[in-house]
Amino acid sequence: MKNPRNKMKLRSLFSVSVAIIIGCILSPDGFAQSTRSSYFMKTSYTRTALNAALRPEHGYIGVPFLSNIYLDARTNTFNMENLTFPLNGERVTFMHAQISESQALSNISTDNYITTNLAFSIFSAGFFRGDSYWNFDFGIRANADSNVPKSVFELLKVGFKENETVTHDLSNISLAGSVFGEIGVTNSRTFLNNSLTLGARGKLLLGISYLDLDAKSLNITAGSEFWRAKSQVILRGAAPGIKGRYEENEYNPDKQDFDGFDFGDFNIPGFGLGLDIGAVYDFKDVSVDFLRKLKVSYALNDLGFISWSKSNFVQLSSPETEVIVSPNDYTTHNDGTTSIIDIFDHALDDLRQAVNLHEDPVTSGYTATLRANMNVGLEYEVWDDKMTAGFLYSTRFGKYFTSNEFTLSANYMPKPWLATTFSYSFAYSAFKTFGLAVHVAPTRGINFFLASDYSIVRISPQWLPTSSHAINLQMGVSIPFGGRQ
Amino acid sequence: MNKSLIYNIIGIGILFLFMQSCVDKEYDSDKLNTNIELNVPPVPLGGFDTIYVNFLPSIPPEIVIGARVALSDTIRGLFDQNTIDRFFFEGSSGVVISAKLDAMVMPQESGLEIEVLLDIIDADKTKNEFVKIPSQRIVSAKNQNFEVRIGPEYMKYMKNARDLHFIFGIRVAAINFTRQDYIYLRRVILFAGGIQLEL
Repeated sequence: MKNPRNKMKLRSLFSVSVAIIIGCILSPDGFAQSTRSSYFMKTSYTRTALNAALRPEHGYIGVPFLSNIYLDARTNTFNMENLTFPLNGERVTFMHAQISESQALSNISTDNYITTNLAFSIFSAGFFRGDSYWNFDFGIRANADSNVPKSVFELLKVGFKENETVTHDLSNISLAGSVFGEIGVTNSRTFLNNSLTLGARGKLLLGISYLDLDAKSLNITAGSEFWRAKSQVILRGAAPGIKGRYEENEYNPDKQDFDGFDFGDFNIPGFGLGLDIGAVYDFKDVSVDFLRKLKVSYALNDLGFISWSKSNFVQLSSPETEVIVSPNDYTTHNDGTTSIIDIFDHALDDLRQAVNLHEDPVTSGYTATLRANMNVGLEYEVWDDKMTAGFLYSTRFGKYFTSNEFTLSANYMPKPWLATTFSYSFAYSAFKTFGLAVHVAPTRGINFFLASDYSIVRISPQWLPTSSHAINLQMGVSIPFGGRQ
Repeated sequence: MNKSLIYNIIGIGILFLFMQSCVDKEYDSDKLNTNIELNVPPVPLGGFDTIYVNFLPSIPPEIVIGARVALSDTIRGLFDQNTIDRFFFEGSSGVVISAKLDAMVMPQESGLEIEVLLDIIDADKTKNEFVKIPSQRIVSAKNQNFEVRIGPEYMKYMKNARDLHFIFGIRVAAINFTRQDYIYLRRVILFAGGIQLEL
């Protein structure tokens, strides 16, 4: 019965949520491949990723591996300010005994999500030809969403009672993410005397990995008479040569516990197609005077799918499993081989069997849709060729939740080669941060840009977000060619 | 120097200034107190090994005042270091091990009464003199309530606890144990309220 691993089991169980959170921060997702602060910047070539009809002022060739590096993470809950509290001159976690339940749960929402995104351009170039603008790019994108319902925090903080049977419903825990290569070709054209610009971007997608964990139902009931866990969980994964890895259960050699994944030789396990479409309308020719400085734009991005091949895809599930642990199930021996914690760990392990995933037979590949996102922009010129004001509404339709952002920006070009934007994004800034973008874009030499929608990032010395709900950063270096359009 | 290069350098400098100015030292996770307490449900400990009275070692009956026979048994290793750290911490509201007890010791009509004294044995094999557990009285019958109650005031003395020691002080007109006489604790449930962990 005694096993060194027992000692770590409980700690491991309660570290799972922390691991998921850290994993999500380190893995990626989000809206697109560019900051929203760059949306109204004429010098930006990466804004084409937000709206295929938006163009830079001149052609460019991106410096390989440096033309666009974009990192983004946002959450409604997971930062240190929400999960830790000052107490007697030090900081403690929300699970500390002296932090009350109401205080601990005051910062927790019904759904608590993290969404992260990484885009990394390996090669990109864009040029004008007549009324057309063409853009080619090849890069890597990665994204991940995770949602932890409030009930998980209630389980951790409120827990159970001695004289009452308590149920915690942990359904709707989810984790979804993918990594893929993207080869894109964008073309936009102008119409109606340059008032209307329509653009489309076709994308060939090379799937590298995919993960989707969906706890459709998961609840735990416990009291003095019994412990019970019920679950219906599905885990889908795709990656080169992916296979489930299992280990022998330490209490029952006949049982195998899921222990992660093994991978085979590198290949491209998934192929897909994607489409971005966009439009910009410039009211410059309308008869109403004050409308002539207005532009409206609309884009729908990441319509498409990736189809993962059968040999590189696994599906594991625990279909409608129920496990009941009762006080008669164990024996405490008097020979020194059984301590209280051994029995406790054994009972927890038995309960965990409710979510022990088993591999389903795979009869075909799996097709996963991309997570579409939409941008709606309004731009008004307030100072001829110098300054515009912009409003951008962005929404992303995630598999398990949809996230929105509203951004106001002031876009100032003091010189033709220097563009700046100051922005404020309402959903995640909470008056603690603002957006800032600087583009140095002379027509010759090297162009450089740096942008962030949440530029003042409040972090701990270990780089964990403290009061910030969002972090993003984008930078790129390119070489311009051709004159300004 | 190329003008655009100068601006690029200035841009990078601004970025680093922004990032450096926003480190919140009060959130240093290396200094974060990671002690936590979880409210756990009653823990099912199952049944204890059956105690066959006939095989128990005798101890001097003076230990149990008035007993004609005093027998002892020990559940070794019930409290290991992990158990102590998690369940028997200072600040705990106390721990109760509750059970149903079947005592089939001599015929019921013998008028037998058993006083059960409970002690904690520390890692150095000596009796823990500080922890006082209320004694229990049982008779020869099935399905009796039994509990081991360790109050919150004794948690600080539990740091080296290892074994739970039973002394059965038996009073009856005439002793006549058989090989079938036994005491069995079943449906043993530990009520601890909370456990303490460090993340």
